[in-house]
Amino acid sequence: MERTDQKGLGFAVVAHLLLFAALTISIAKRVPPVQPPQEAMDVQLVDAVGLRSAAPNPATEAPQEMQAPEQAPPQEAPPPAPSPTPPQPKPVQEKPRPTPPSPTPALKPKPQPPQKALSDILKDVRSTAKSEQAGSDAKAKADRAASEKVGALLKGVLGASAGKGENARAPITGAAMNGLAAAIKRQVQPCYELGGLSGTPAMQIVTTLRLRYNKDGSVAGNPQVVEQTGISPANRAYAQQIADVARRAVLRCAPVHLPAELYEGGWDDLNFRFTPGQMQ
Amino acid sequence: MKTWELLASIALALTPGAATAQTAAPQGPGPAPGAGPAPGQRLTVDITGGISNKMPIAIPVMPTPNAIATPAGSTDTLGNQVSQIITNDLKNSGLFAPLSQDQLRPVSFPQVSAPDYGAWLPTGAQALVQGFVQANGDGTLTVGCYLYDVFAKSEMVRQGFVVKPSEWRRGAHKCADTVYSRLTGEGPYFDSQVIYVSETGPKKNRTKRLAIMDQDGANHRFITNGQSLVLTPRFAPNRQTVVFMSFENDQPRVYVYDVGSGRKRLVVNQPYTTFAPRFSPDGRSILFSMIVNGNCDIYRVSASGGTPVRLTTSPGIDTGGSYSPDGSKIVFESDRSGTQQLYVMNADGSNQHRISFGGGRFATPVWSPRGDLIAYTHLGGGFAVGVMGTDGSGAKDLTNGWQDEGPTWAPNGRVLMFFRTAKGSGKADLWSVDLTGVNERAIPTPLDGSDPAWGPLLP
Repeated sequence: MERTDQKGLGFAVVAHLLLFAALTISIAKRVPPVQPPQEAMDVQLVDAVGLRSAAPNPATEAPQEMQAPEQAPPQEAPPPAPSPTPPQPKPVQEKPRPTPPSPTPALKPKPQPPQKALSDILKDVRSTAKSEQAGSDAKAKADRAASEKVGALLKGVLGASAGKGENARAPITGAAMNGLAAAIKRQVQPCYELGGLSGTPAMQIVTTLRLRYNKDGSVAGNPQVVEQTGISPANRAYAQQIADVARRAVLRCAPVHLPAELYEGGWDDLNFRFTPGQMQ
Repeated sequence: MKTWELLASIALALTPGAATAQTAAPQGPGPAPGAGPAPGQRLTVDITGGISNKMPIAIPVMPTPNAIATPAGSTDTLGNQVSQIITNDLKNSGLFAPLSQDQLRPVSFPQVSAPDYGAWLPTGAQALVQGFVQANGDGTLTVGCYLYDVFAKSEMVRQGFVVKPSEWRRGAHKCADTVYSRLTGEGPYFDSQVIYVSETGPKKNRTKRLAIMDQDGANHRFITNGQSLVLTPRFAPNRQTVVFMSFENDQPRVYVYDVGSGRKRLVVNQPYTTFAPRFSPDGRSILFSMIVNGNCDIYRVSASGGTPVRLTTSPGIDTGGSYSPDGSKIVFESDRSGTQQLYVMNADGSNQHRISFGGGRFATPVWSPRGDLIAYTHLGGGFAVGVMGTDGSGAKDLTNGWQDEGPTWAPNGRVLMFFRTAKGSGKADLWSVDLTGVNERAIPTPLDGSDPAWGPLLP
């Protein structure tokens, strides 16, 4: 009895010690790496997006519309005109006019600013990401025992910023993608003209196009209709036409002006979702 | 036993990798709210809220392979005129902004089927209409019609129309219809005619004559001499027959008129007042109203004559019957509730039920050729022309004149024509309006005009 008690007691003590050690190790491994990098990324990136648009903090719709006129010039530029026709600038300028309430957008010059702004942001994004990551790297080094698996996970989360490969082609961060989407939307939106489809049941059809851009911002090949939703017997007759106006929008508002460093894996291959009516 | 349980719990506790992976996995690849797509996934750009501009379109003069004199004129002159008619049709639809003459450039015959897209891009035109006019050996003309997407650099549709020289304008209308349908998704309507009441003379002693013209006002001609007052002309589906009300011999009655022969006859040879006639969609019967012993009801009679069938029996005034395009239902107006309102019944008169419940009174209902809407005159503060669903839902006035009334549908159900009476002078003119309530436009007529009826599309 006593012997077995002692054995049992000894075993229990050893086991508890083991358990304590195991829990300590697993907690040490688990907690620190996962959370910080993600939070840091999000916060920094949102700031960056806000800064770029040089507008009130929430960089949502207002700044996008403000900059709409900037998209017009590139549209004029591409076709070198043989015949001196004044009408072309007219329609282009007229379209943006109604949208911006203030006269300032007209003063903002050319498509270059957004381009520079974007790449600036990108730099911001990268540098912040790097510094953040340096910190987390340090922590990770301190806790080498945990580094192997979690490090791999981190790379997936951080994407472009992981490791020293700042020059390597790496996936673009989500926030940078958001900035891209906003920039593209601003450049294509002014060409989304419904013509006679306006006010018809065609307005209920949402068209998704797949589109590839060349590096110079021109459209590569023919935009393909990926999906149309909202088709009913009342508007089926307009399905082709509502796809046509979407396709025409991306073709007319090309070339787009976007940061070259975000081309691959960013704006080289895109989906456009065209909703004719205003979002509810 | 206890030992193994303990060991098992230790073993579990000692596999932190698995636990870590489980908690981290959902956070890893899944993007945080508001973030972009996951790595490797295509970015989706949302474009919402299209702009409702008229579409810029280029319609250059149509060349001819050989300038040949025809009864309609030389083919090169015709090429100019045809492009002009197409331009006017598209412009008048209110949905297109054709380039002005000075923005257009000449097109050679070979270019008709091989457009120089690069030259048209700077004009801002989104679509390009090219074509040709050619005299054929058998005395007919061919109007070739090509529609191109300037930015996609592709052909959208092409068609050729062979017409008699006397009907050369129809070749142009057919081409305009082809372009319009392809770009808007709507049915065609330019190659059609309108019959209406042409008015002239002082307010209290108007001369009213029936007149027929092309939808654009061309080929205008009178078909009655104005000796008796005429009202409410309506085309038969075959367009060869017209039904209308005339005050001949001072007795208001409905007549059927053969456009080709110029002969006319009474629809019902009875000593009652008959009015508000309209053909059924198959042209085999005519709806009309008849006042018998002081009670006005809707009747149906065979287009070739015979005994009328009474469809309504209410003690009030039932009139203005109009068939649905499939002929199964009839919309009409009735004051059985105390005021003029719209009702729908089956073609045999069964299941009569009210569909208009908005403020004011409703009159002159006309079922859309598409079947989805009913146009009417809304009598509120003034007279307005409007449309509602066939169940009365979604009623909305489209016009806001002093006195707009008597709507009639274009063959495609997208455009309405009506007549507008001016305040004071009492002079009436024909107008049209797009179903979306835009592009209100006066239709040019030699004299004043009222009571239009838009005929079906020509074959």
